[in-house]
Amino acid sequence: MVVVKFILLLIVMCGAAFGTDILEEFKKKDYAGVHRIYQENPSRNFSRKELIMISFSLRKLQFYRQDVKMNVRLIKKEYNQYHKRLLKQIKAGDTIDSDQYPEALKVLYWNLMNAYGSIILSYEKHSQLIKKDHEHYLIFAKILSELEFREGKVDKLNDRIMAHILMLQNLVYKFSSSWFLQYMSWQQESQLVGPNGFSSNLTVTNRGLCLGGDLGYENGSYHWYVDGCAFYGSGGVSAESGTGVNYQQSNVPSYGLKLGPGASLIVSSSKSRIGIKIPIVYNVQTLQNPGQPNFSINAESAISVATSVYSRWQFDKWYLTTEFGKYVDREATIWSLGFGHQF
Amino acid sequence: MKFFFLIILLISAKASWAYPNFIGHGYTSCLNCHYNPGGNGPLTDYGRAIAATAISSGALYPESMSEEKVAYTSGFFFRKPVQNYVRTQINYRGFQLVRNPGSSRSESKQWINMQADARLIIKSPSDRFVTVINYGYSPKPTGSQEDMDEWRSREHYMGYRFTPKFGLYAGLMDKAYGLRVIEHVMVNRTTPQVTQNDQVHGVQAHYLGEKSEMFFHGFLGNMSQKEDIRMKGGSFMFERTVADIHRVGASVMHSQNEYLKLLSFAGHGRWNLKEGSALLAEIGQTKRTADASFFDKTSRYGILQTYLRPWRGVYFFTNVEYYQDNIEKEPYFVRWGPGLQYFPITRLEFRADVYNTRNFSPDSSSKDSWMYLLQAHIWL
Repeated sequence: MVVVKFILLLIVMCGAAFGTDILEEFKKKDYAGVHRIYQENPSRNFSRKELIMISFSLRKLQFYRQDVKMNVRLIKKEYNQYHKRLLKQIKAGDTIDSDQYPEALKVLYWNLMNAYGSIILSYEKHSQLIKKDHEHYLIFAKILSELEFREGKVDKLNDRIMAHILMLQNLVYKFSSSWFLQYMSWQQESQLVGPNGFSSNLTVTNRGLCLGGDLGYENGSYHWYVDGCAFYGSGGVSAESGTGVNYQQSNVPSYGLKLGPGASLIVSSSKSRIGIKIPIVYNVQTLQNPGQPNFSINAESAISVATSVYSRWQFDKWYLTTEFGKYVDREATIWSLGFGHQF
Repeated sequence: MKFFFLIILLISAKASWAYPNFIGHGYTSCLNCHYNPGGNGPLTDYGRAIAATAISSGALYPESMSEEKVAYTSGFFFRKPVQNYVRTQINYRGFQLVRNPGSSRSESKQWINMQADARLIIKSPSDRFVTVINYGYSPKPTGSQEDMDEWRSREHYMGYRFTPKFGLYAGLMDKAYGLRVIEHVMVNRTTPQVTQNDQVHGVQAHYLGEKSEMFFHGFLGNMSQKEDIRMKGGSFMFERTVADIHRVGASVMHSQNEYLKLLSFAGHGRWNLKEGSALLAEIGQTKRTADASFFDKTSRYGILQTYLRPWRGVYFFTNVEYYQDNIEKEPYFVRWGPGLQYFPITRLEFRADVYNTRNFSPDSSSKDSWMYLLQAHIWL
């Protein structure tokens, strides 16, 4: 940019006789005026200096795609032989002596790289067009690094471009699915009722395995999904001490389904995530009635809703999960620890 | 079923105290940030700078303050050290413990001053030679029969690194064994007796290779205790870096006094899940042989500690503990502890832990027990 300005300043100071309409508008810093004149007849035989002024104005107006054309036109018009030789050398992998190439040509490459960089940075959504623009950007970044021109600045812009492309890619939601197997523990509550209004709470502590999967959409930051699994396990139950009732059962089978929506925040590049779920649990478990006459079991609803905190640690396609939840309508909790694999 | 649970702990698997989860920031060895190669106790200048710039949130600093300036203010009382021979540090940790929250009959609340230490470090400029003296207040362990002072030293030692790879340390230190997680009540610390009050006088050799790290620790017990109860013995711990960023390791320890013999061994792992997120796991077993043989038993434990860092300074974690008091008997418990850790600014940590304990027994079933704690940690 500095070199371009310097060249322009020289032109103005020398009072070179190219007193065109372009120069007048440019002197007034009316870049829109320069652009208008150019648009009126783009194929006009502009001088090299006029083309430089038009290019500068286009950049000022952020018309980067037109600026690309202008710089290419300048290269073809003024430095075509140099350009062809340079491309040939790069293709052959030859060592390049950057002193053999004019500074002005390097500045044109610099302008081209920056123009493509600005185009890429202006994207707010990921699209196929970025790929093409990025390819062009990389060509000029490569040429500049071979010419050892403003290397530090080139590297800095490269990093910025890569970060922007990654950010745009991370915004794109993609379908995701996986299967998992969990070791799960959950509690069911029932009531032991007897004569004369006797009632005592029973807590069944179950453990088992839950096999299932999830379907959803995720991008680089969020995961929205529905997951479900079928579980099978067993649990034990005993009457609370002090009730005077002897009631105890072991390994009472239990099976059912756990299904619900969830949302997670993806917190690292390894795709580890933390989120919440609202699982609905359908549990089938039948407790035997006590042997004592007039005593019976009142089972609670087989369907319960819970809220849970969910975390997932990803090792490429495999992952480990933990989930800890509490039923909405009662004190009991449900938790699981498992592993899964993404499709 | 328990086997399945242990397998999951294993495949998914250093304070009073240290933060072994910082492997998630790429720090495989504790020596990066602590004078004690096994973690715990005073931080090195580098460790303090890391705490200020990578661990703590930057949200409270003005935008004009560079990370370099933040690092400089991480010294004692916000000053950049002016010499390289003496360091002083002050450390406080206290928490509100609430048991059975919400229960009208059994809820209890208690504020516990867990740690209030003043620390003096005398060292050579390169940290090759180091003397650490750590003295302060810590509560007597609950149910302790010992006449233990509340004001005491829990750590004092001298160390010399003959080469960057090898160092010798002598004095009162934590035993080299397993994962030195900050939660000293976790079963991987209580079962083999490596809690916040189990330091011993001894000599520790430390090897730090490119991919592996080793500790040999010979000890004579805590010399401030009566001779008959001093736990004498030795331990060995080994860790190896795998896949460049993770660590797996194993430990073995034998200790005994006049009444009790303990033989413990454990395997552990620390996994770097990038940008501060990490997984830690340990499974182990401790065989106790007592004078009174009816106390003989072998206990088995497993822990899984998980950390996720959504934003700089904030960590969501879950502690999952499995403990079987006697492997010949069926009952065991699982303690599940989700929590949140927040470093709003360097020198300050807030933490909230929830603990849900569930007992598994073939003969009985009971409701879970709950407790939570709200913790503040300040270091100057």
